[in-house]
Amino acid sequence: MPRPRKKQDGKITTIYLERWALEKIMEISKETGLSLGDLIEIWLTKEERIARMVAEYEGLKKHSLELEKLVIVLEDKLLKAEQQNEKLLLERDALREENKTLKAELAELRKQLRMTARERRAEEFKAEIYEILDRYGKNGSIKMLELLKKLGHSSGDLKKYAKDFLEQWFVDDGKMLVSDELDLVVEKVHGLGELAWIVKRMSHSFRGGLVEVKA
Amino acid sequence: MKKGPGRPRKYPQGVVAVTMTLPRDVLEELDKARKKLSLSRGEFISLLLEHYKH
Repeated sequence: MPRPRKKQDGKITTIYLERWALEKIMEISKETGLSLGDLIEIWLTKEERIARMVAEYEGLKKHSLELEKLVIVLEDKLLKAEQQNEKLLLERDALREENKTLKAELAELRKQLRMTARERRAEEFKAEIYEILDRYGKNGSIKMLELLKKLGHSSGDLKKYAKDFLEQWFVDDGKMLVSDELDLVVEKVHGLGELAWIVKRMSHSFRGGLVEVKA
Repeated sequence: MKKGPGRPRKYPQGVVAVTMTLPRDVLEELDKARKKLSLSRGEFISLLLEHYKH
């Protein structure tokens, strides 16, 4: 119990307390019969407890500061990771697009590889003849002689070239010769040789009869 | 010996101002301890109360 003090030793002071703190003080004061001044004096003289409390408080304060620093570092790392993630997502999308294109190219290459040498030759030859028909043909047709000239056979035995061309690619269907590979028909002209025959485009849907396609 | 704290005056924020007479040496001791922790007198007393054991 602290020793009684004379009134003149005291100093009047105002302390701002949280309501819960005041209520607790009043409760303790009621239990012990001591004033707030006496209670504070008792608490302050228990140096060991105060020292422990101060150390604990300072430790917590230090830990709190460390945690605050850690939060800043982690937030920075998170921000960088998010930026990196965004960049990677963009790269992933670009790579997916590239992959799609490469797959399409690969499929095309495989298709081309699967084609026989004759099919490849037919594709190229057909493209060449169709270009000539587009440029020099009339209503999608051209005379055999003109076609051979445009194909580069300007001299030599043109009749032989025509016969070889027909033999190599066409099947005789009576009035006409048909080439499924080149999508072409050759219309015979009565009384005239192969060089006067007419080369025409053929519809892909042709099976039973010939369908002419206008250029 | 004075019983109980001084008469409280109410403030709307839930903080109560208590006027009391404290011995000078106790007040000095209180201020010395609270300043170490950069706390107000009221905050320091709240801290003491949190550690109070019967």
